Formats: sequence, structure tokens, C-alpha cells
Amino acid sequence: MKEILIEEILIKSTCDDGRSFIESSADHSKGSELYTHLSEGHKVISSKRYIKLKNGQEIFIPVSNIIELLPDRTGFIVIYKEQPNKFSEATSYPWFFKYPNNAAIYNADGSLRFQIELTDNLESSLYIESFAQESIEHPDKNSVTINSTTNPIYPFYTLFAVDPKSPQLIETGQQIRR
Amino acid sequence: MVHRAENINAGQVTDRDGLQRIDIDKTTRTKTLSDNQVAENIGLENGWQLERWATQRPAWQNGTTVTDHVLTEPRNFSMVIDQRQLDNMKEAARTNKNPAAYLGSWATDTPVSSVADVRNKLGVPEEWKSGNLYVVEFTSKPGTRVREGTVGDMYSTQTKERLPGGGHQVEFKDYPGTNLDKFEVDLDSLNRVKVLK
Repeated sequence: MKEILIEEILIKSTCDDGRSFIESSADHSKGSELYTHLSEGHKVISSKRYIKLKNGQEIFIPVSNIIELLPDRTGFIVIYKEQPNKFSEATSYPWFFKYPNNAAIYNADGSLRFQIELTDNLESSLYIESFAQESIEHPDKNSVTINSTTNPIYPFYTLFAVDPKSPQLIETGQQIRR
Repeated sequence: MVHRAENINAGQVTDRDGLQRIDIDKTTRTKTLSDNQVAENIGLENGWQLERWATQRPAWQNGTTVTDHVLTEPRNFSMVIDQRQLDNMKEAARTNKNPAAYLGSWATDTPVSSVADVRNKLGVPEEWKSGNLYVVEFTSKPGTRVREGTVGDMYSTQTKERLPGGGHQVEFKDYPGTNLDKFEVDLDSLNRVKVLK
């Protein structure tokens, strides 16, 4: 069976004056006039994410969190904040995961591949905070940073690599500067 | 308060046992193991939860002075951010939140127009920031506590090169992510940003 591959992620936002902007993961300057518009006092009232496939099909993703493509484009990663995003339409499984294992990998068709496991201690203060630059050790994998709800201020983050075939994060030992 | 850079640097490159912890050995990960042991002894989950990390080289240029002070008037700074910081700032702006939550701790008023400036003037090696890099502009408001001085030389464990430093740098003692009322990002600059070449 032919693998479904993702072309780009689209963010379609509408402002309080009715103006619409489409941003693209493939061209970071596309649609960025939105921020000049916001600097003039306007607000975003709707922001939706779409996965555009290589065959041109667009799939609506019911969450508005930041999405990052897997390098092989067969899926994408979503990191969830403590609360669902204000523009997310879906707020429960499989489109929301609580701390500490607050991220998941989805296939290009939008189906859940697996929840990422940071720790098996569900009482842990740790959580997955953000995507980050690829690590030196695993340049072919997405990276994330980890933080703690009890002591969140560190001058450096340690990178963890995401294995698209396994829920367990890979600790790299590499630090990046805030 | 004015310090000699050497006095601050001494505290940054020695670890809790007084031993040097610079140029981390990637194979044995001595520092990582040491940090994890200390963390475990004091009831933390990971070494990176300790209050301070040692870095590869001191942050401040020897022979210069470093000043701790509180801003008494608004000041504009620039910060080098990576793709993910930019994505997070844009997401914050879309959801009507303060993008300053994704600023880092270190900024500059040295003009930065290239990746070479980031590496050489600001002493930021590839392992700390890589991929697409941008410069975002923001204002720090009166009352912000800062440490300010000259960038020390740094060492890239990836390229094995010495980075000379020499630019201006400020370290926010009021971390932007937890002091959002003290920082205002120029939203228009999120549109103007270009990938540094």
C-alpha cells in the first residue's frame, strides 16, 4: 500500500475584523503579515490547523496546538499544554494528553500512532515543554525539551529525541541555551 | 553593583564539588552522571533540575567588568531565537498571549545580521542554537533586574572551534517567562524576521 505523506501544515486564522491569514510550515514568511495586523491591535478569533497531503488533500486537525512534522513526513507530533488550546475543537482522547506524558504522534491520516512516554510516574512534576532544534546525536529525529512544574527556571534545557517508532524519549545529554 | 568578570566566571565553570565541568565528554557524560547523582541525593528527578548548569566556557570576557543593576527606563534589546521559539511566539500572539513567554535569558544590543555574528560576537555555538535562526526585538521595562557586560570566548564542542565573543550581552535575572509584565515583544518584528544567513 502506498504510504500517505504530508506536504505541509497550514494554519488558517481569522481576525476580529474578518481578515484571514494562511500560514504554512513550508514557507515561514507566508501569512506572517498576521503579526503586523495584530501589532495594530486586532485579535485572532479563530485559528485552525490543516494537514496538506502530497496528493493535495487537506485534513482538518481538531486541535490548535503547535504541530511538528516527522522527518519522513508519515506523521506529526503534537505537544499539549496543561490546558487545551483555546481554539481547539477536540479536548479529550486522542486529541488531548495530560502532564507528564503530554505529547503524541499521529499518522498522516490523523489517526493516533501512540502517546509519547516521558515517565511511568504519573505523579511526576515533569512535562514535555516544547519542540527544539535537532540534537547533534540524533539529527534525523525531532527533539523536545522537558521542564518541571515545580522548578521551571533553568538557563539551559536538555534535548530529548523523539523516536517515531517507539513511545520512549531518548535522552541526548545535549544542552541548549534558553 | 560592578564585578570583575573573573569572579563571576569562577562560579560558572566549577561544579558543586569544586571541580571543573567544562567541555563535556560526550562519551562518558561525566557531568551528566555527576549532576544526576547530586539531584538524586537532594530528592530531585533529574540533574538538569539543579539550580545551575556549568557551561563549556565562562560567559563573561576576562579583564572586563560585569554590572548587576535594575533598569530605570525602558530598553530595547535583540535576541537570537530559533525556529521553535519563533513558532511558539507566533502561537502565543495568535492566542492573544504574551510572546515574551518564549524569550530566553540572554539578549544583546550588538547588531546581529548573520549566523557568523551569532557564533563569533555572541559566542553561541551550534549545540546551543542551530537550524533557522532569527533576531527578534523587544522592550524590557523599568524594574527588570539584569546582569550586563561583554561576551566571553566560548568553545564549540561540535565544530571544535573557539568563538571569540566580544559582543554586548545581558542576562535577565528576572526571567522573561515568569515575569511577563516586564517584557514586550514587538509583534511587527515577528513579521519582519528573516532567516539569518
